[in-house]
Amino acid sequence: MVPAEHALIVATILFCLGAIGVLVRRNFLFVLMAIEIMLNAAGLAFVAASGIHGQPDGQIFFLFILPVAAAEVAIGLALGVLLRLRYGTLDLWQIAQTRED
Amino acid sequence: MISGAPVTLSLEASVLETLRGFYALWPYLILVAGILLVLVVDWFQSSAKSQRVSWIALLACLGSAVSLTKLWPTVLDRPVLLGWNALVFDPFSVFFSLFFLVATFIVITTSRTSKELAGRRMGEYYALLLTATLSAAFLAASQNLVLLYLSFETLSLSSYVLAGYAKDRREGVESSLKYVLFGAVASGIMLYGLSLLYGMVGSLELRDVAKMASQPSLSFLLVMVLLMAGFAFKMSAVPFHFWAPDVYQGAPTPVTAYLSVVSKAAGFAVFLRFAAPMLGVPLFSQAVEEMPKELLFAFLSLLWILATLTMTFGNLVALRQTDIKRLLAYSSIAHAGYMLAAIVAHNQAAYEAVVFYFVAYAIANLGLFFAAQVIHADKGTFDIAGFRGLVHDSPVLAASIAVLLWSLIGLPPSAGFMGKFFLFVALVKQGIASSIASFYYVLVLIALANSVISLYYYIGIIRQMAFYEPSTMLPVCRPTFTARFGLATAAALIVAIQLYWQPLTDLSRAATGSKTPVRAVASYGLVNSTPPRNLAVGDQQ
Repeated sequence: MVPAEHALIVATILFCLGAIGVLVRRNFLFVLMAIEIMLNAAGLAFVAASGIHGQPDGQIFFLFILPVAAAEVAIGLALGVLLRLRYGTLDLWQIAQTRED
Repeated sequence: MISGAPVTLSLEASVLETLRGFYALWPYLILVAGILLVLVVDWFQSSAKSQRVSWIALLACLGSAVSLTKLWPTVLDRPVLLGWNALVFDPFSVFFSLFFLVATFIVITTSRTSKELAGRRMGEYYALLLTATLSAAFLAASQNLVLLYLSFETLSLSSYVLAGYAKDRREGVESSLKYVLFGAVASGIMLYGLSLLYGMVGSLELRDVAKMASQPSLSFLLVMVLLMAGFAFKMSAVPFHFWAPDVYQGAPTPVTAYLSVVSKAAGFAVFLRFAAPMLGVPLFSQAVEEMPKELLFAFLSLLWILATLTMTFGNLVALRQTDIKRLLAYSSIAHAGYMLAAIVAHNQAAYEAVVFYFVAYAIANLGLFFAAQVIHADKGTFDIAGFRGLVHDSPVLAASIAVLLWSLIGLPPSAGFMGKFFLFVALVKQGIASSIASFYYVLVLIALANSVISLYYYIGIIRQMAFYEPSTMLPVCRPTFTARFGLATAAALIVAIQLYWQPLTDLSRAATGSKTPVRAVASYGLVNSTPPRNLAVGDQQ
């Protein structure tokens, strides 16, 4: 049995990974994935905390995070399609450069 | 008799409470019905006539606003709690709901004539606008972290789509992209903060969070910093303001007005409610827990720095802007800074001042964005050059814009002046009462200096309108009667509030709970099980 504190540590690491991913990734899709990792890290922390407190609240919160994350991805992907149509690429740096021209 | 032990309700009383709850939900149900109706009706309409559904959206707003005004006396007597205390309808949340609805109503009317939105299917647009308003209202009313997060995200998600609604324009896609990236990261950070908060408190209710604040801990401060990411994003405060200029510029103008008023107000409303118990402001139901001095000071210092940076940055960068929407974006960042400065005062007067300030700010901003839209419709540009010599084109339009700008500077006679006046009074009051007076006085001085800086770019527009000849390259601006009438009304309101501010100060006082009778609040303890500590004296009857 893994103690709940370990899950919290994993959540922190995941969150940092996600945050780093957002900062360094150039491709829009990978940035979206990194954001998902951040959200899920928070979700994991919720579930772990709910284990520590012996309450279902945190797990319920996680159930609410799921649809929100899905909705965010839906909007993100729709935007990705638009970006691809307009710029022919999903590379955020290239998009930023075409903008300055 | 009420204070102390939790009181269980009799069956009859709990049934009555439930009925009261449903009564309080009416305005929101009307809004939901409006959203669904807009979507369904739009389905059966040709694209060319899609603008018609705006009538349904307008009616939904109106119906909802009317039932909110009916609800107002009820909640003034005693707040309504719903959904296991997740939602609270007190004067604060009802006031903000009403504020959002009125602003949305105005945004819908301006959307109807917007050229940037012409020829598009408008069903989704109005449905999203109403959804955003609904979630903003719930955000102001949420007492539970789940609901807070959900309404926060719903507001964000609908705003992302609205910002990019003109999806065939380059700016539309770009503004949506920026907004989504910044928003998702900010809300991710906030969510992580919420999870840590839950881990520390072991409860998702704001009441329990407030109790937690009374125990000194550094990790609590860390959580507040993480949460501030989300709030600052909605308020467009430094350092989460980067999205604002690009999104404001790229989004269709009515949406920009919406973001700068409703979305920002929602961010402030939720922050005011969240921080009230920690700052020691008794916002109705919330028990005031003494935050330890050092922790409170650390939190206030954080706000102090944020406020200073936000207003200084906003004003300095606004100086160099040539695009009216961009300029207003930076000006709205600066205004978020002024309001954050007021929150540093952390007293009742500060809360009232923020509410008052927001009304003045909303009138001016909605009016100015509408003016930008009107000028853009005729001249085809959002450049300040479009304002040149406007007084020759339409004196009414130019005069109204001048009054609105005057109010944003905060010079008398205007509502903005009164707003700033109340902000500074709140800060000075706190300074007199406090042992670290200079902490507050310096902030007042910085805010005053910022107002002087802002004078330059606002007056610049007025000067362009009044003293320059209109550019011969651009067509003449001929606003319709409705446009002139609308803007003149906004300007008249601004002046009227300066001449007769009592109703608005009363309203802001009622909305932040200073005048709520002790008896009414004490009986609130019936449902709440823990009555507000500071009101225990009044329970003796």
